[in-house]
Amino acid sequence: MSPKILSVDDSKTVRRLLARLFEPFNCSLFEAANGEEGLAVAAREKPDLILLDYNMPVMDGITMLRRLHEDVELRRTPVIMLTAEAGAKNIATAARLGARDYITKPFQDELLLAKAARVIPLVPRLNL
Amino acid sequence: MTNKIPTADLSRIAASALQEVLATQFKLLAVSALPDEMARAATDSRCLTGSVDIEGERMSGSLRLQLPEAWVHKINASLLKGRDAVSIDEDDASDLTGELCNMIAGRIAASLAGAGYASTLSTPRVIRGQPLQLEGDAGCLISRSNWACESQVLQLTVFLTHKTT
Repeated sequence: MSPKILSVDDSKTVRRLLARLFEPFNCSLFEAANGEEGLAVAAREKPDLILLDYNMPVMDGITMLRRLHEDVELRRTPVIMLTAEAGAKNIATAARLGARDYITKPFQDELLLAKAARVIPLVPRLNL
Repeated sequence: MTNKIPTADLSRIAASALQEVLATQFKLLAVSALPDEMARAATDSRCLTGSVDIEGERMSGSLRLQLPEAWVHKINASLLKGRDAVSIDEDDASDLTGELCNMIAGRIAASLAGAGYASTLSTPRVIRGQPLQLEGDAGCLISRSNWACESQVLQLTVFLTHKTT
């Protein structure tokens, strides 16, 4: 069973960058454009890793993180924050709510892959 | 207590932010535009202008990024290279412009925070149309720069006003 990654970001550009980054690996990528959609996809797919933006319309990343934290089925899902907000307060809040890591945009591909690989197995996809 | 940020420092911070975002996220090199490149760019009629507000207790400001439409479409096309054929529409162009503004503003805000100016960012706004001549309020610091990238000229303007306490 390939690991599932959920990317929650209101920017289609970022979701495309992530799709391109994880495409060579044997994993399934799911997408959501805000926290509310993200919670719905997370409940349905039970992802192995969530990449979560901070500022989003409808429901922001911190609210989604708080809701995940309160959900007994989803609270152990590893979350890596992926955001342009680099403020110390934001990082501390995310850490308090259980975020596994915090990466600021622009992100280094190698850094994100290395941090993701600490949570899920990233095995190159075989092109047969 | 920290000193006020001089315009030269703001220009250096803005330049570093733009170059870092383009290089790290999009593998693009941006260099200061030459006068003839800027003259050529001035005749290009269509562009997208993105903006993000930067708001802190000790200062407020905003960032404006003006991008030629042709450049935005080229970068979007490169993001989709090798993937299933997906049409690139106007929303995609606005999204890319907004996200670039968001990332550049984030880097600028991080540098300002290091100098004692903590702030938060607004969500990006994007408008489409003719290039704009942007003016700041009296007393605000302004950093304007023009960048050559992929044979096009990108214009970055950052406004910053110190709040009196």
